Amino acid sequence: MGTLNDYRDRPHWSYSAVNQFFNICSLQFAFQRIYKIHPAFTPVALAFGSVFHRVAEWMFLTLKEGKIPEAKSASDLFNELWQRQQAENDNIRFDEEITAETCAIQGRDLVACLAANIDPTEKVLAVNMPFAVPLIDMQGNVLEVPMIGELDYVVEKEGKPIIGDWKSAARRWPKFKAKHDLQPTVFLYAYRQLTGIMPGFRFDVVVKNKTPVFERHETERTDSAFHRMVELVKLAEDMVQHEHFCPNEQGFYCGSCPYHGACDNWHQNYARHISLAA
Amino acid sequence: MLKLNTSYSKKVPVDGKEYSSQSYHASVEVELPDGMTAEQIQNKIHDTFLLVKGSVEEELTGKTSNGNGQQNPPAQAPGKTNGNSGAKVTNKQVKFITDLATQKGIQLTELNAGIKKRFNVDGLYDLSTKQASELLDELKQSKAA
Repeated sequence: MGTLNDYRDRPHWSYSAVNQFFNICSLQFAFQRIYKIHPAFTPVALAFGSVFHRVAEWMFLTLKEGKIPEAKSASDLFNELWQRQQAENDNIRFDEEITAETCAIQGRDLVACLAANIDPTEKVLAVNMPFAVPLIDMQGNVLEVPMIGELDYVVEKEGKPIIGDWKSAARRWPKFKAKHDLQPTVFLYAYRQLTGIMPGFRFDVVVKNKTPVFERHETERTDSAFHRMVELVKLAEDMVQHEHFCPNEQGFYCGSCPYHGACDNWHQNYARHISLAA
Repeated sequence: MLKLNTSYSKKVPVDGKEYSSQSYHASVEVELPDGMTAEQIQNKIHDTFLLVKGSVEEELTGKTSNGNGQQNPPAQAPGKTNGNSGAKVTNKQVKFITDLATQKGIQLTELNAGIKKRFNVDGLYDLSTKQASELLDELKQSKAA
């Protein structure tokens, strides 16, 4: 199987790209993916999430080998990787409340919480499974640009495969978040297209409370959801082609957006561009 | 005698230099056998173009194998490939294959299973351009039949 980096070499869509376009900010999408502007900094949430993910990956690979990952080993690994992350990237933006040290403490607790909630009776079928699949709409039209991505893990439970995704979250998830999230739609679509099997899907969320809380949110999708997702991608393609990007003013992610400098000047450059074209 | 001349060129912006680009170009000339139908010629043009385009893209992305597991830097002489390690199938080829398969009523999972068995790769996007070309020819032939 190709690696995710192999698949990234070709023009592609991904869950994070579609989600960024529609749910975060289409202008941020454009700065990052179309105009390829260098981000001013690395948001701490991104750096933290990356290390959390790597430790979770180690836990499930250990489980796949038939061993039980220990909470202490997971915490130690987080510590080591977090130190390394900071050494390799001196551009991580912290703030008054979230410092490198608070992240280290919180991270150790979060991965220990995740380790404590692993079910050793589940059979791990895959960890970090990359995919690339064509997008096909309800009429059978095939889009030229594929959907790519990577499943965090796949386990078998009572004979049925279940795709899982690790998340660390600042607060508890609302009840219907998983139901409306685009990620299960994309991942279930891909898995079914590759295997012909419709698996289950669950988010393993560890909430960053003082004492971390583990939540599991299970969800499923129908063909209708898949067709809706493909229509969204078609719409995004159309908007990208026409460079219809707009800032999500007062968006939740504005505070940690590494493109705020470009965003501040966007309207001036955009107006000049339109004026020259007229 | 019919001759087919196919070429592909691409301009790539030069990093750090505004309004500058480097141009890459490749062309190939092949002789076509007599008696080909218009559709066969059209198919040959399509396949040859994909081959040339794929090769140029391969050079630019430095994806050619140098035989010891490392990748050649971009814009060097084409590396020798073995097995399925040639230029990867293009998105256009996959679309063409999937369109043909859909027209023939072949489910995508069925298509992927066939590809896995025949070429020993996991899915459509793991094919090389050459393998994709073979698959396209077969799908077209079975369509004509």
